[in-house]
Amino acid sequence: MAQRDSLLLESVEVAGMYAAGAKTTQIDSAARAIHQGQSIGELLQASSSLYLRTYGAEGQLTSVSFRGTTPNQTQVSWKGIDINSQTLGQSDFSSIPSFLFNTVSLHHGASSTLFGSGAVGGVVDLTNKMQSGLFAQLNQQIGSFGKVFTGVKGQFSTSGWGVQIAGVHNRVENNFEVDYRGDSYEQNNAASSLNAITGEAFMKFGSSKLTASLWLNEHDREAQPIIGFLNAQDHLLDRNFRSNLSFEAALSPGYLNFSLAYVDDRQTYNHGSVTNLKRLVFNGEFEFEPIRNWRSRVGTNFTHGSPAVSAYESVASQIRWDAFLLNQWKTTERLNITANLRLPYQEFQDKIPLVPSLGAEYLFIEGSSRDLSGAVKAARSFRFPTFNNLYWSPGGNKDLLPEDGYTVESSWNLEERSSYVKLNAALSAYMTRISEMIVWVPSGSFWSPQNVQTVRVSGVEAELSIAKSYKQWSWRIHGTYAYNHSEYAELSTQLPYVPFHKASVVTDLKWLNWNLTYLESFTGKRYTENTNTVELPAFLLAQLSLGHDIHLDDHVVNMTFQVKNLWDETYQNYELRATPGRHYLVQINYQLSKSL
Amino acid sequence: MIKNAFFIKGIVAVGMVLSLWSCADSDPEEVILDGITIETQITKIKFSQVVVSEITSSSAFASADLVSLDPNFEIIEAGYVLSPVNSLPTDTDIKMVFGEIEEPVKIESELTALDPATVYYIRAYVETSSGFGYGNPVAFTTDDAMADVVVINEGNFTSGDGSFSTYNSLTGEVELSVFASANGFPVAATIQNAVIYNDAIYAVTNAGDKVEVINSETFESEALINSGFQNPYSFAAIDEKAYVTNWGVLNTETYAWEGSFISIVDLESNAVVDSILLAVQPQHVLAYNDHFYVSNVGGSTISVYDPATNGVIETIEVSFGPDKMVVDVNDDIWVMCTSGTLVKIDGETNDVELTISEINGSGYNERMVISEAGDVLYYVGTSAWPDATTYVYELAITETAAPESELISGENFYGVGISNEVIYVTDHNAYQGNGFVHRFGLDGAEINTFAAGRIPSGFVFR
Repeated sequence: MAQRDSLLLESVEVAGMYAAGAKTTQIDSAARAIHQGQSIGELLQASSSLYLRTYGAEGQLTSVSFRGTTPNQTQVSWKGIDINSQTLGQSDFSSIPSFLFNTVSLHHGASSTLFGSGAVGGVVDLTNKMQSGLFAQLNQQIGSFGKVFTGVKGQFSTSGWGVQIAGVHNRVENNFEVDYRGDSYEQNNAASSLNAITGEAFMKFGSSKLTASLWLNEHDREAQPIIGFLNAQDHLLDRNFRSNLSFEAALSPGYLNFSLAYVDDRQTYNHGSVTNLKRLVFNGEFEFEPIRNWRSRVGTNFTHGSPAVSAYESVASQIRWDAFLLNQWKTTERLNITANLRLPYQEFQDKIPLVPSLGAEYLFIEGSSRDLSGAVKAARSFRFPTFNNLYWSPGGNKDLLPEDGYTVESSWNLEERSSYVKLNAALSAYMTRISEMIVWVPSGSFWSPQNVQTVRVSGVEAELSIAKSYKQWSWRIHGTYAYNHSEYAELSTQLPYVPFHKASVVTDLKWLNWNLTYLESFTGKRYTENTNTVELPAFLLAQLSLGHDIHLDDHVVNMTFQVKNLWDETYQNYELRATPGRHYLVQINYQLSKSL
Repeated sequence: MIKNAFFIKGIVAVGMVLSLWSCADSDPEEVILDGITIETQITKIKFSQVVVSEITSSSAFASADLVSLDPNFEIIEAGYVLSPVNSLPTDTDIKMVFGEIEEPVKIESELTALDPATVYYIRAYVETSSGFGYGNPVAFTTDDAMADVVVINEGNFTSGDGSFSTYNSLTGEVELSVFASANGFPVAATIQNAVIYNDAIYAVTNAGDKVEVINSETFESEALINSGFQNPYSFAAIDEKAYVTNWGVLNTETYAWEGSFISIVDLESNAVVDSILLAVQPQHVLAYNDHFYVSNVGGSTISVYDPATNGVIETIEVSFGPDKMVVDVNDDIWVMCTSGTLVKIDGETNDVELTISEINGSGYNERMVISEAGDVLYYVGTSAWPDATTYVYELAITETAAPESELISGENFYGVGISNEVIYVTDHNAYQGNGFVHRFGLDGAEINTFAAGRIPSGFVFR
């Protein structure tokens, strides 16, 4: 029974188990601490090898380019639900507050067998694990350009039941100075206001568990115009309701998991046009051990989506239905093999892709001071056309095929340990070919999406972290780097807004209750369009944070002073969108942790 | 060359400057030449070295000092001789004459009507009763001809990456982003229309909403008018007054334009001084016969405004969606309508003379131009979905029915222009990155293709 219990606890982490050969990384904790009052977008820009397509001002449209792919090819997952906008096909990372999630996992590369449609370049998985005991947190921040952030979190849990609630309010005016034709003006129409609440409760009944989760998100903002557009008025209001009820049971033949989610995404453009999509998502999984050291999971995923978009021509609803089989075979302590298969279906799709993946991990060295492992993986991935692609009138194209990706990759991990130093190094190399890429092209007097492009990506990701401690000092550095050569097969040019190079460094120095953190990210040059004639220069962004903790029994008060864009770099992350210069943030954080 | 020589002589009278020579005026760098030789006699007459400056593709400025005279030689006239052929030009070449000289002077001459990209030789001369004497020759090369084709690259709406690029039809040379190169900052907007008026390019842009006044030769920004507009589209001017049509605000529920208006711009102060509210979306504005003709694309009329009162003096009923207007050689106005008609209006009486139906246009933001002789219309058409073929049609102004077939067909045609009997057609490259321009003969045969910026949409010829 004990074994079953551990199985049950692990079950949440779908990816880890059946992802031999896949690269998964966690966002650095020091970087997370600094970005508590910001969005996942800012967090990833500063501390990962992902490229964020963002205007640069806080709260403005932000999407992710993963391993040289487009933002549509990144999936964002919460509770096993794809939370990308199903109308547009991507997520706005500026609308996801990092305060609400204590774990941000990045699944690099093709992950469609695990996550389904859209997991072509990678997956950003958001989780908020409940720890047992009593926990409370209050975080207040005030910063430049009218920034005010408040975050509150409360949690109580025992082994039998638990409840957690968190809320965020983040307002920023973004009235920074913009250089314009030898003069300057205050950025107009760029204010952003975000409110979000998450809640979760679970209860265990013997060897089964019922969990209810809720996430309400409201992002009300002005859309930052291009430089010099002084009478811009565009406005966006996003409201998302996400809920999930899941039931897990450890039975004697295996472990069972059902979940039912209801998601309502609503975007209002310029106080008028509403894009609304409601989804009912059902997940059912059963996991068992057919033979010793072999674990299998069979499951199905059913989504019923009903849009309310005035531009859609007579579509009441759409059904998506996936079936999958995941297998993990631990042949020995050293060799771990994964073989997965997914069969997805979407209404109006004639061609159903059969999506397999195969991966193997081998532990070459396992010692008291050193581990070395190597892995290989081959996978197919896919992305179904979005609601806009299929139903937009005029132009919506029901004959579209899914985007089709093939990836091979190899990754290596090295860990060195001694009593003073810990070192982790990871290196991966990959090649991806994505065909049938969906692009809106003009046909007659309007536009229509077509399967027109093929993209080839070859790239390398590297990661290095070193931690060292001496008496009351401890020091840590964590660096990431990615090289992506991502080219259109026909044009042999790099995809727009995909830098060849992206790197980040987080270094953290602790002495007693003092904490000094420095972050620097490098974003290489990017082209703004397919023919690669216009490029935006590379830029470096640095942040410095000085913090002090006061501990009193179970209470911790932390005060932090942060300088963002430390070197006052003038840059454009997105063509003609202004970015703030050096600015400041003060944070007070109160935390209560009590184990039972 | 004879024409050139004649032209230059004609200009000399205006261009030459005589000034008293003094040491203070003399450039210390200038070389004073030894006494010049006349008919084998070495004289005391001395010139400084000719200095040629301000060289452009068609002009230059020559300056030299007649440093000293010789009492034994009476100077009948002095000046410059210029030749693109003789490295030692003589009095039989192009001459710029300064007449009788009695004391040391500086002679300065503006050389105009030069050929582009040509080596010229110039030297100063004196004519005396004993004959001609010459200073040292200097060679200079005129610049390449100014590119004659300016391409309006509309840009992607959300990126605001509109730009101007140029094409030199003599050399085939292309230059992208000429405005950004000249100013150090980009246009930063979507360029809807651009026209030349009073030697300036007036570019109407939206997102950001503004009118850029641009030097039509150097592309330097001369003025920026950035208040008083809301999605402006078209510009026309009479004297110092311009009308700019504004679509207003898009209602995102009905997709209709609301709050449309005309901005009235004072071209001396470069500011919007007044506006005229409209009930319907306007499109183009045409300055003709001292009146402004505004096509109301959201309806089916053309309003004729009196610039003195800014009032409508006449409303012309046409087909639905009047868009682009051009004036032909007979002073008739041709209007392309989005509903697929071409309407001919008598320019004197404002009466509709003819409506040609079954015109295959674009259906929105129509692109139509008229030949330089004003007798043939050229316009862009698209095909019905899902066919993505696009067309350029030609229609002589004497025709009364739509053309039976297109003159040119291809993919991604977007804008059209005509200059020196060459049809220029823009290619938006399926909105994927920078576009192109195709050049065709009047028979529709392709001549060549050159690169342009993002979403090229039209032309200004200079």
